[in-house]
Amino acid sequence: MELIYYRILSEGPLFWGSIISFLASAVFYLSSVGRRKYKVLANGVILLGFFLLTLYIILAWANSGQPPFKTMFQSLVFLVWNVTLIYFVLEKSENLYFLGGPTSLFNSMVLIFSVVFADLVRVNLPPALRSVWFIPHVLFYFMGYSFLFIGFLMSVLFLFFPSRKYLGEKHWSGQRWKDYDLFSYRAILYGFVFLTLGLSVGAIWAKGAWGAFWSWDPKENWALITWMVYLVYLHMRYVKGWKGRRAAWLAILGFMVVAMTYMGVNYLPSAASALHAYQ
Amino acid sequence: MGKRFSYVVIFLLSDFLLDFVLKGQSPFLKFAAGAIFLLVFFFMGRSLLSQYQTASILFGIFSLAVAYSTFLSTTGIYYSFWFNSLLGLLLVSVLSCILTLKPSLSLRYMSFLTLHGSIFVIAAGLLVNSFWARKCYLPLHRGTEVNYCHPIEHNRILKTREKFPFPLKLLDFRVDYYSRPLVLGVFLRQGDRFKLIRTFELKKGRNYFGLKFQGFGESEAKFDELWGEGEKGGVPLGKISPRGWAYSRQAFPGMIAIVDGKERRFYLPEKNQAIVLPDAVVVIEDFYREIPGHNPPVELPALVLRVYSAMGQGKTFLTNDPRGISLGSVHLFYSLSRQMPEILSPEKVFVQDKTVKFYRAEFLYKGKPVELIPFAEPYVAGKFAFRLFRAPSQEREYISIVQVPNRKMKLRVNHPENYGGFLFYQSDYNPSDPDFSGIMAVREPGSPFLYLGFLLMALGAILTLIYRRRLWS
Repeated sequence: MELIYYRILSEGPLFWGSIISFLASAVFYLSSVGRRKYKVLANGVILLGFFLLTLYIILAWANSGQPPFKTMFQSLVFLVWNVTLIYFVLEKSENLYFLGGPTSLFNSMVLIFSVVFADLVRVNLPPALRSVWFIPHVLFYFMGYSFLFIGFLMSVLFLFFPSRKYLGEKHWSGQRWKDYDLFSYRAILYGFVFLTLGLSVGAIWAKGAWGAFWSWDPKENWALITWMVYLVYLHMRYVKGWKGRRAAWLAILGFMVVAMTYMGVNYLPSAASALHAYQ
Repeated sequence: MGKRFSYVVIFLLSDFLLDFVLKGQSPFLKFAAGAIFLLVFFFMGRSLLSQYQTASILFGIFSLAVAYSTFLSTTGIYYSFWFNSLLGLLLVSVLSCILTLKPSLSLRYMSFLTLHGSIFVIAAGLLVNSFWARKCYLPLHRGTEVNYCHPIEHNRILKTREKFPFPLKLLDFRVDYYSRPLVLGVFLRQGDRFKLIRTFELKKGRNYFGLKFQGFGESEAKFDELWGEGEKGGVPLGKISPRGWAYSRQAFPGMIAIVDGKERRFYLPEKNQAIVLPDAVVVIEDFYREIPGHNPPVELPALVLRVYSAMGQGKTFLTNDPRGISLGSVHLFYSLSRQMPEILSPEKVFVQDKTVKFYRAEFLYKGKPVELIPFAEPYVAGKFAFRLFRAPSQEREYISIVQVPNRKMKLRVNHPENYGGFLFYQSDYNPSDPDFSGIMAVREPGSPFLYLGFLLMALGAILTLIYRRRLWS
């Protein structure tokens, strides 16, 4: 714990400033449930956290001269940035203010967790990652993961917070409990589109880098499984009319597969020799 | 539901059985058997295959097979008969489901057709490649012409040799590395171990704890003192300041600090550098001391100082001399008995390609302790330690210049070159043989299908969002 404490501090004021902002916004969001008065404050503080994190990423990029998306630490920071960005988009377009609390909490927890993987010496891009495809590939996947996280979060709210059922038609949050099911579906649809873009770009890049579109690498395989799980989710939802609890459980399963693709594959026995094992 | 499961179970059992029977047969025979096998199962379960639940079950089983394979160290499963037959049946089921929708070439179905059609374009490309693709590995040595290659099958380079259609000659090969900056590491003591908390890359012209880094050569660094007046005494080690880490200003890794009342001067040892003390001038001669009587020579890290003063002009002073040295009012004393625990960090410390052990030398100046820590030794105080080291070397690029008939090719990772119907890739190299470069040659007639398929897939995904309301909501 002491090590984590010092590492958080040593990451500098932008990093721990954003952690504090996200923690504060989580408190404001959660204490503002049912009351409007903290809403502006909560939104302002999460915006501050996002701004600090954006600066942190820009400075990391400028200092190293390379996009900071390579290592686990960098990717976790970028994931938080994406999740926050997508939360803002959804808050604006769908009035999903209620998601601010869990999103802020998730962000602060992930940032604290990320220091376990903190890059203590600058890690440069290996030859295979020095490509024009690197940024779009990573960007599409992280946008996709972030949408899928929001979809997962809404499925959890739908399943495990039944008290939200009693939200009236004109509740201050502007939402109805059953909306979470619909919003989850929409978020997953967007997430799936970004996964598909990431998969396509990755395959074309792999042909240029390794001479094969597909190499049956563990990361590739789990990315394919993730894609197929959400493919089934969307088809079952649309064609077979799956809604409510069944769809929510499938969305939760899907996000567990996302977690396996993102982090779990690094612990597989085949990970050491995998093409995607960069660090 | 029972019917669908029974159908899938019967298919899988037959699939495994056929896989066993066809082991060792030619790919063409396997393909023909697979096609007939799928045709039989298509006619057996035509109505079941066109149901979304069946397709979902097949997707689930295929996903489980792929997931299981990631726990194995071999890749043979992906090229097995049963795996490819399962994939084939899945595609047949998807196609059957699509056809039941009777899609037309209208705007309403544009995204649907693009996205779903892309899967079959990709499958067509894979099928073409499975028969007519050629992949092989060319081990090239500088200046030697090679006209053979090792076939690559199932992602493995075989030992057998095949004739390559034209000769290749490696004209040049080099590995580019990223520059290796000088790094200041801050460590935290946990029990008897030190864990790295933070590093600072020392960049020319930037301030670190109030010291301006002026630059460094191959093995030395130099700092300027920028402290303002009025700052007195050292800051307790490990105190967190708004600027980052603060630490004792009486010492700095790799520096010599001389404390004399209000005056503080700091030096980073540099070869042939002269340090002017009130009563003496000390010149740093070397960072290594050769131990006599060893062949090949053995060197230990040690500061070799030549001190010029009224009392001991021209005296050579080694950090392992047990007696110390008195120079007028200056007494320089050191101790090798206080051997520091080796810092456990991800990297060993390399100084000019030598792994060094850590010793601590202590000097007294006018009765006050002054720390002197040679370059790359740690400075330990309280629960923290500081150390200078070079960042580990990291590869930036491998570049081969290869002569083929009529032209030269420059091959880099991510930049394959086309010649004679083959795409040539920079594949690998041998760190212990600078004249070797591994090149991969690939001919895949199905590639255009695959490029088209993945482009259609991306396009279909985008169109899904545009035409979502027409079909999806």
